[in-house]
Amino acid sequence: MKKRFSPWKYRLVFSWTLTFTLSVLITGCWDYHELDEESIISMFAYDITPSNLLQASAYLQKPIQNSGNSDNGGGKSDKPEILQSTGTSMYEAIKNMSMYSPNQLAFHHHIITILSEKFARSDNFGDGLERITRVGGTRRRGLFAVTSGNAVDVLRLKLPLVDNLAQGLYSLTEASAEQQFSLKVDLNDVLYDLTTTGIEPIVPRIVLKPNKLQRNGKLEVKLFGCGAFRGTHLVGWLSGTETRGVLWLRHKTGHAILRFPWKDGNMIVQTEEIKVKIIPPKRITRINKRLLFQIQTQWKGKIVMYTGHRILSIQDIPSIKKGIDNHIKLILERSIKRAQTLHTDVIGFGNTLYCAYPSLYRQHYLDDWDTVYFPKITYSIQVKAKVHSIGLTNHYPEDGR
Amino acid sequence: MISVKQLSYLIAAEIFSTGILYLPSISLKQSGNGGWLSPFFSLLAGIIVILVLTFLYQKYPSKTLTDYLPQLVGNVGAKIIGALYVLFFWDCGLDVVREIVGVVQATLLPHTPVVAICFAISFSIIYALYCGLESLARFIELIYFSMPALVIILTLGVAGAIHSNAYFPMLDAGWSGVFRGAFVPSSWFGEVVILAYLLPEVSNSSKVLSRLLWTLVVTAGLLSIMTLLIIGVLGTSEAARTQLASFEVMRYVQFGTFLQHIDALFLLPWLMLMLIKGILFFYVAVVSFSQTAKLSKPKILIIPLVFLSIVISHWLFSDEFTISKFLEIVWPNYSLFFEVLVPILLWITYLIRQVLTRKQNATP
Repeated sequence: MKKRFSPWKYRLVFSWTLTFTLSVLITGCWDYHELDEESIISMFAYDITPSNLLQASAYLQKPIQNSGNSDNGGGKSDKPEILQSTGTSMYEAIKNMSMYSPNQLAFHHHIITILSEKFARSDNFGDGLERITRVGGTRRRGLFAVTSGNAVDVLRLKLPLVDNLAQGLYSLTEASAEQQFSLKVDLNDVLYDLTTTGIEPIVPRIVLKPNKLQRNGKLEVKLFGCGAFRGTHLVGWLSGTETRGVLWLRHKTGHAILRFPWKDGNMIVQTEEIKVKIIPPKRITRINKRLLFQIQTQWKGKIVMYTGHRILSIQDIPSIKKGIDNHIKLILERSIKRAQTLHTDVIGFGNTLYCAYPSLYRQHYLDDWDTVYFPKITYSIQVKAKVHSIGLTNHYPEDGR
Repeated sequence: MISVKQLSYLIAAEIFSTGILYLPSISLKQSGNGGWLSPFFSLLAGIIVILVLTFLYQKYPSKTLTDYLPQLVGNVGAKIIGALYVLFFWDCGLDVVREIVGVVQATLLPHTPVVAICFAISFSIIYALYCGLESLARFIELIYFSMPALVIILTLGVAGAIHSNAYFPMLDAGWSGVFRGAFVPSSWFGEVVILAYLLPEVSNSSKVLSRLLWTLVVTAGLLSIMTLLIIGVLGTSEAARTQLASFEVMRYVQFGTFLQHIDALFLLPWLMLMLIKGILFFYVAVVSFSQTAKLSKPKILIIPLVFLSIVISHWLFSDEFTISKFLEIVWPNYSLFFEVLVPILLWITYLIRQVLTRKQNATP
């Protein structure tokens, strides 16, 4: 005979189910908030005021703007707001910001943080990183950039054909990183460089300059070069070309366009792949004040333009390769020299040395690497270029007459 | 009764759930970038426990630890050891509840009072305990794939963001660092001691040993891959600095620009696995209590034990700092005593008794 449940068992099961469901539903209530009542901070800008207070500026968007939809149709939306507040620390400045916003500030869709030069040179950047990672509201995908002027000026920009400035800057960063005149650095990259032995962080630079085509004094923006840091302090700037060299030395490949004089014109080639290997000095048994590193570079790319009037043939390839070799060598030398002048190993020679001789590095070089040993290192660069295509034509158009 | 396959999934969930979240921050402090090797050394604790418990189970078939303790250490000793194991398993359960509450509050529900989260979790545990071990075993069959899935999602999502130089110099803290880093996780592998109460529930225990050993190896492999990824993305120092390193890495996962913010894909399966772990410990606590106290209806213990654990967990771990320090410093020494040392001592006792019995039989 089939066993039947008694009524009290039904009641027990029902009461348990009810209690369980309610407890699960009620538990979330304290953390419940409407999306409409959120202000999404997609960009942050940090400056130091003349009175040495920290000024945090946030580029606020409503979620509906961020999604690109609105009730009034056509994808149009209200203008984003810029909210500013000051404080003695980053934490205080951000806390104060919430007093000016009726909506809840949301950090989880944050895209980019812009630091002013003064801010980046102060201790505030380190404090800020500490705050961000400890509170944990911001994702590590959030990008960083540094500008020589006021960081808040970047938030007031209007990028051509772009409604969402944060997304626009994100795309610009990606484009510059592809061209290797600048780079894309997120919170995780900065933290990785900071916590890794023998390498210092670099952060892309945002350059603002008046737009010559527009008379109303509008600023135009480009990401060009980068700021070199020692620890959490900005110590100087690298130009676009120097940044390119540093990126190559950091094993970052891209599609950089190289231009160098060749024969009677200029040769322009496009990088398809560049591999750089830094070989540490051999047999270190004591502290060498001048360490010799080998830099082996392999470049692969194609000719995209030639402004001279020679008819390119297979015999010219060795000479073009030599031109590329010399050009790359020049860029690498300039980058290393600049980093040495700034006394910060943004390239990672120290890391290469540490990987080869960990205990020796810890014992002798760790503390003074950037300031004492890195500026004195010597290096020899070998470049091996490979041109795999000269393009679809072989001479200048008017020469065909 | 449950199958060997279900038992192995339960054991994998028990180890993986804690390991995936706490292994990097706890282990990498000691082991440096060789931390990915640590799970394979921690595994040894689990292997020893499994070998000892299956050996004793073969000698005392269909009996739990509490059942065969009197034959090994006498009635008084059995009562004392049985009572200590009840406390140990119950403590394991309340620690798990507190860990879940801590993580849920830190990541999902920061404004919700701890008590509310505790009650939600406790009701789930109580309900599952009333349903019984078989229901739990059927449930794990539905979600066991989430363990490899988590590792696969992480691998695909962060593949481009891995810093290759993070793995060099190889074993920067040396082999001693790897061993030191393996100490705390060995206590999580040692949690297979619950087998002392689960083995009698297995329907066909012929392949149980090989299956369980493979489970441990696969779990250690998954944890090792996770640690490799975390080291590659965050770097050793940053991973050791971060409390929930694997969660941070999951937040970093991005597929193109269209699929991101998939933290829930980590938290949801983790929460389920962790609940299963808590339920297992409470189940074993209830069974061992009822057998030690010779109760005819073990289910009457469920509600008091679970609710008491909420109160005690609050009393013991008033803040996050206390629980992380407990897990790092107190837990390994205390748990390894019950997980590894006591079973080994019981096994030695069995061997001595065997020798003495043979000698007694040999003397005319």
